[in-house]
Amino acid sequence: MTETTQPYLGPSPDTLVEVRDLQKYFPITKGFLRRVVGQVKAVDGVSFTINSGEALGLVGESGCGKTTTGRLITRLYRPTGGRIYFRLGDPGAPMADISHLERDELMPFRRQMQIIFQDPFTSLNPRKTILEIVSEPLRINKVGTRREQEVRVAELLELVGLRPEYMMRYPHAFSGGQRQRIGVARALALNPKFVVADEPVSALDVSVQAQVLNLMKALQKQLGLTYLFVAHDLSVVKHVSDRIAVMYVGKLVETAQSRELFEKPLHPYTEALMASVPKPDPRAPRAKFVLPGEVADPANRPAGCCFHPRCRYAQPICSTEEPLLREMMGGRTVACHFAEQLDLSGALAPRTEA
Amino acid sequence: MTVADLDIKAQALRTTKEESQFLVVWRRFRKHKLALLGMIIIGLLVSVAVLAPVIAPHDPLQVLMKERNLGPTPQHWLGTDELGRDVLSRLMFAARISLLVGFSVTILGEALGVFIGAIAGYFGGWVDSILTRFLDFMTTLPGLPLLMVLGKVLADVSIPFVSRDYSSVVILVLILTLTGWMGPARLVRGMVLSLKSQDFTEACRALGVSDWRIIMRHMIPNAMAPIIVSATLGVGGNIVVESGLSFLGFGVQLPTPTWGNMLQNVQADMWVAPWKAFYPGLAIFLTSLSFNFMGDGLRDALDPRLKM
Repeated sequence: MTETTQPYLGPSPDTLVEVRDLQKYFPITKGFLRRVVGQVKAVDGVSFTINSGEALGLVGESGCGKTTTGRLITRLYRPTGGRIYFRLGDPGAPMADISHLERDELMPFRRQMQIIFQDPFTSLNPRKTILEIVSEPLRINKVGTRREQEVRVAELLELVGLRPEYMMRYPHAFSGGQRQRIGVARALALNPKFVVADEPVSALDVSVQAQVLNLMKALQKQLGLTYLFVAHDLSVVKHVSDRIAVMYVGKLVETAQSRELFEKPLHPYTEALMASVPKPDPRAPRAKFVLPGEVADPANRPAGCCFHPRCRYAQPICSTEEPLLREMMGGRTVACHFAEQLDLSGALAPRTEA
Repeated sequence: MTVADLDIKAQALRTTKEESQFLVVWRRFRKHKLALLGMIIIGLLVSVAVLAPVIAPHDPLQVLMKERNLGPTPQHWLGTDELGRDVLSRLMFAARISLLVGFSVTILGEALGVFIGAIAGYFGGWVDSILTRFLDFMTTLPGLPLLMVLGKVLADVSIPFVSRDYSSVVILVLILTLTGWMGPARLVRGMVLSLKSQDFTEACRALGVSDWRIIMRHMIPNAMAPIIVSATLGVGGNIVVESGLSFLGFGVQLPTPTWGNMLQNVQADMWVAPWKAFYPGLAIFLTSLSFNFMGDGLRDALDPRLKM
């Protein structure tokens, strides 16, 4: 708990996680003395909230800082700046700032927030049986006797759709999809409220992706989980997220309800992302345009709006003045000077009012 | 669920146990015939060393001036040395010292190396910088002269709880350990560096597993295969180094026999009693070769990428 006299209650009683102006700079060092010659600004001033029971999708291209954001919230990394608030108790209870807590102080929070990793082939220790892997959270938190832990692992394996008989096997005996299910079981072992899913399906075959996504959706409903769903694949995010935040080079460029974002993006980058989603209909018109250029270098960010070198609507102001994330109608936010003027097209046809 | 239910369930779950890691490795190891032969020879050597007081035909220290430099005789199967001591008996007792030195230096050196390497690799940053520089420094020291100087300087140090006859053995073990941990340290550091970047380490940290537990329970077990191989190869190497030092007179001091110091005075009598040089040399050669074969076999058996 923070030592402040006034407990922080958060923006709303339902908020589970609040991130405020989060920053993570990785130093670029050189030579024997590890002289710092530059900073990679992986995450640079990101703010958002996640409500209890919600699934927030965090999308962006590779290297935009979305994974770093997920790892900062679960405190695998120590933030360079900013705050991370987490509500440990019931809705309305005070929120605690976990951004600079030490390992021991983080323990109660770690029980409540877990992470699922992208690569199921490196996220399970190859020398441990599934029983050992899934029961590790129980063992280090000293939950139950050995036998109770074993039964709990069996329950968890059933929950994620695996046969509990396999618990004495080693990870190499399982397929990618099965391994990812084991990763989910491990994350859920302590009944957390909040799960960061870091590209949980991007390493899987497409046919397996849907199974794992549906499992995660079902688990969310069944256990009342709150997700931060990190992905670069918009169709995946659309499937699971209630709300979506779009990141570009360490900053948020747009947040909106999932449906609204897909119907009418407000930021040109979001539009470009959507145009790149392949459509399953071969007769559908080809993508209207392809985003030119490369993602900006987070160690050497362009002046003004980071996206201006690639933006087809760019005006002179875009290269000099950085647009701030501002609130639009309907609780959406966007960081573009011309959000009101542009008429961008989304991936979904706008709903006609019936 | 009741307790009885839990029991039934837990038991049912245990039935599909995988073939254990050890059995898999053993099955693969057996296919390597030379490695198997090496293991049998090592097994024989170890039993001879352990049983030396029982099976040795003579007292290895007993001097018989009348029976100097004898060739093979019915009493002395492998002949006698320049003081009339039985070569076979000395060889058997020497095996105790040589194998003891080989094993203990390897175990201590590997343990020290694994510890330092794991810490350097896991914590990284300046910890890694300092440890790696120190490691490089130790590696650049010329081995043999250093061992000789240390051996000479420490030769007369008496060690508590160790009888004078064996103090030179203990000192030799310590010296060889302090100069022999760099290989394993470098090996483990590399392994830990690559393991650290895998997500299962991050998963442990997300669960709040302590650094110590991650190193001991997750990093080192995963680095075990190359450690075992390097240790096996190391035993043979350490026996050779011990022999070399003792041969030069800087290792284990006479009259305690080792394979190395049995070779000490043989140059002079090379033409009179060549068996004195032959048998200790053969013992060193066989042991070192056996450990190398076994190490090779283990390397193949422990490598999961190699389908056998």
